[in-house]
Amino acid sequence: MINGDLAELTLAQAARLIKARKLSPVELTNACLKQIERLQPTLNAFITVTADHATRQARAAAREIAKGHYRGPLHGIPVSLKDLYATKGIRTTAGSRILENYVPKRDATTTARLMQAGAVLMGKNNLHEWACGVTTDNPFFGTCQNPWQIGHIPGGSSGGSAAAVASRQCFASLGSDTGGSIRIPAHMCGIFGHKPTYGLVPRTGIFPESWSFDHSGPMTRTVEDSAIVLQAIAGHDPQDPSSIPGKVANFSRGLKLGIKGLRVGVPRRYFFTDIDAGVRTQVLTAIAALETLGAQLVEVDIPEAELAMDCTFVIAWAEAAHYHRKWVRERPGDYGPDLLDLLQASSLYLATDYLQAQQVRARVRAAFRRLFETIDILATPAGPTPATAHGTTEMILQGRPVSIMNKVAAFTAVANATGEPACSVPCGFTKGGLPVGLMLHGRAGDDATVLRAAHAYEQAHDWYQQTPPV
Amino acid sequence: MMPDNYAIKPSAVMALATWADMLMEQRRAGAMAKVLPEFRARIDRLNAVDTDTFEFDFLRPLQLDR
Repeated sequence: MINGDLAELTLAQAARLIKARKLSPVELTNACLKQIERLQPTLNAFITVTADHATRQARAAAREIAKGHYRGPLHGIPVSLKDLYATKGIRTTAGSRILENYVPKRDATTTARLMQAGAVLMGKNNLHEWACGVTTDNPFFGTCQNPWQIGHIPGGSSGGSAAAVASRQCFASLGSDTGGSIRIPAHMCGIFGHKPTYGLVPRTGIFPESWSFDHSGPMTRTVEDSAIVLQAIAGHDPQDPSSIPGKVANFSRGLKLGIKGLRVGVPRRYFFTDIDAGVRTQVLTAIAALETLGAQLVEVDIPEAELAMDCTFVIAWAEAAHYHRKWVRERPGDYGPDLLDLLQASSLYLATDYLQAQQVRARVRAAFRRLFETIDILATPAGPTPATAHGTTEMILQGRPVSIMNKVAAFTAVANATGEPACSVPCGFTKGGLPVGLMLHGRAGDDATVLRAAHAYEQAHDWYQQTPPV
Repeated sequence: MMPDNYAIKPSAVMALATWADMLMEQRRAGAMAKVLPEFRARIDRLNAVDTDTFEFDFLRPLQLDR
């Protein structure tokens, strides 16, 4: 047990206690601050810790609740933000040297919505430089460690968010996901992460990697907790051209309906070749459990999935190279060498390459739209391997060396290319004690079904209750 | 499609970098020359996909049919 019982509560459990006035937001915030103080030297999950700010917010929440002004399930709950989200008056670095002293004058829309809901901001999480990578080996703010095994990556780019949530330094964090940057660290750190439908959560005030692939979403220990956070941050924002207008579904209401009769597609090709044996075993066991819970398993073939990674590399990296073009030309020394190489090389894609990739992406999306006429959920591994050791650039799969950068996001990037919702829910551990995530991918706009399926699986197991050994 | 022995010389990378208005040292040009064939292979795979018979709305590339 870490730091007594409080840090072991889920967000929803803590919220119920706060609402009933059996738990003070100040007490809860202090418990998380103690965790941060203890673990920051080891895990380096934060770039900026906002302890004084959090204490003031917690006291204000306590006063409001005492007066009977309870705002809802995030009131008085300690949360963190990937340091890509603008925070008014609080440094926002994007994990970069270029923005190392940048203090925004406005909150991101999602930051403002969390604060309006009464959440308590504990700090800004470490991330891969500019959110452009999967290791969270940050050249300027230090390496972030995986709480399950020091010396291993937490995944990325939202690695600090995942490490902080997994090690009970906060109850939720917001990550961003361009090719898997919420789901990869969720998979590697044994937490739940949800990439919503493209446009469901506004991105105003979040530094972009790629406009047409970027998503904002919640990272928590449980599905129920993510549903609560998603409810607070989802909804139309006229400042974000990609934002979907219209009413937002209730993500918590249907969670407990179960998955009896749900059609779950299992693609044997692509997602189960070239993967770590331990990951394969855990994910196939989890898929069998979905059937036991009442889902109908359907074997599917979706060859277009293999094209998604190539589309991602061309479109997302060309868009990133465009966003960074001025700084790359004028301040190349202010980038880490690996990222600079990728941004410069991606500057050399031709306009015709970009357009061809967009056309292929449209084919991939059309194929997935057709697929989701026959199934409700696609079940796959969230990643081909568990967390790797820091500094590893290649991994051995099926006896062959494979580039981590090219392979780690191969499964998650599919849902970024299609814009459909997808999550990673913990489904066990490898023999080496590293977490494994089951990815559940649904049809566009149907985030509620993805969350319902994940909740049904999660509640039938105790993986989410496991505590990392730090 | 590119041949198996496809290679890009650092001098070609320097020329590309000049065209793209990027600062590039000779040493880094050598490193990038090793990366670019992978980029070329990616483009070749995408170009091999038949998109001529597929109707695509370039004016609304991101529209999600829901």
